[in-house]
Amino acid sequence: MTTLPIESQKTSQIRFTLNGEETDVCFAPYKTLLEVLREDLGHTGTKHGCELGECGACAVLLDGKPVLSCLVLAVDCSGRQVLTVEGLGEDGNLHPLQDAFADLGAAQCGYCTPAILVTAKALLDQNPHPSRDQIREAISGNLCRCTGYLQIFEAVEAAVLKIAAQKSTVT
Amino acid sequence: MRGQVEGSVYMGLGEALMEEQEFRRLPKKLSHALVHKFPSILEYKSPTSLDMPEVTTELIEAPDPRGPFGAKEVGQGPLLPIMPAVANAVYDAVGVRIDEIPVTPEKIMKALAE
Repeated sequence: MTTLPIESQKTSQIRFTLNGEETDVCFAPYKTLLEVLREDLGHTGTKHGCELGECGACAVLLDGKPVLSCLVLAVDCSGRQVLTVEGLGEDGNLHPLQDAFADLGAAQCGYCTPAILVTAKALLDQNPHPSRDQIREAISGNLCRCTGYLQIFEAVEAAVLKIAAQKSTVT
Repeated sequence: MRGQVEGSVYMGLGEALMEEQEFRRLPKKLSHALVHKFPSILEYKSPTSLDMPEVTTELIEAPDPRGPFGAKEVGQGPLLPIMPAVANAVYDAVGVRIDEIPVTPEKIMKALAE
């Protein structure tokens, strides 16, 4: 049996919206969204964790909802909206969540942080003023080994205030 | 520094209540090595954000004369007292001593039955 060179395995092609930009990508059809993001598109902000859907490190937003990209086949994403941590900030500015996480020490090793950021964004998009318990619930699928979560909750709460303050200065 | 303490409490609680390391021997014709019985976090459960209690951190700033500029570690120290604290809390609550971690419901039920 001969092994095909990697390039010729790229027999699937999709067009989807990645962080607000129309993106075309060719990839081997067996690949997960996580692998295509990291290996074919070079977006390494999304992290490779357990590959079993247990740790939550690979979460991205698919049509605005958090999904575990290690369990999503890339061929399923044709025409859909994908948001990764790279697309959180706008015009070179950090998203208020990123700002709050950095300010309040909500990351230690940082491996779970990109996924928690996008998961928290999905929560705030749906519910701009979540309670502590709703934040707990929302990020319960993201394991963090370092922080003990408490400073993550506080950072999300701080981001809520930052977003509200931004909105009031705009209007 | 607060994060170091809270993280240690979190890891200590995981060790005290959930995270059991079980091993098995591979067959002789393989490597006969000692490997994890459950090599995935499906079985090796860690606390999630739903399991984490509130933690009150009080830092006592006392310089260590042997450390550079009086510095000393803060990372792992707060982890160690969690396991005995949990075991003592179980003793206080139900009157049985569990002397190995994790302190699981099965072990408590067994000790209560004896």
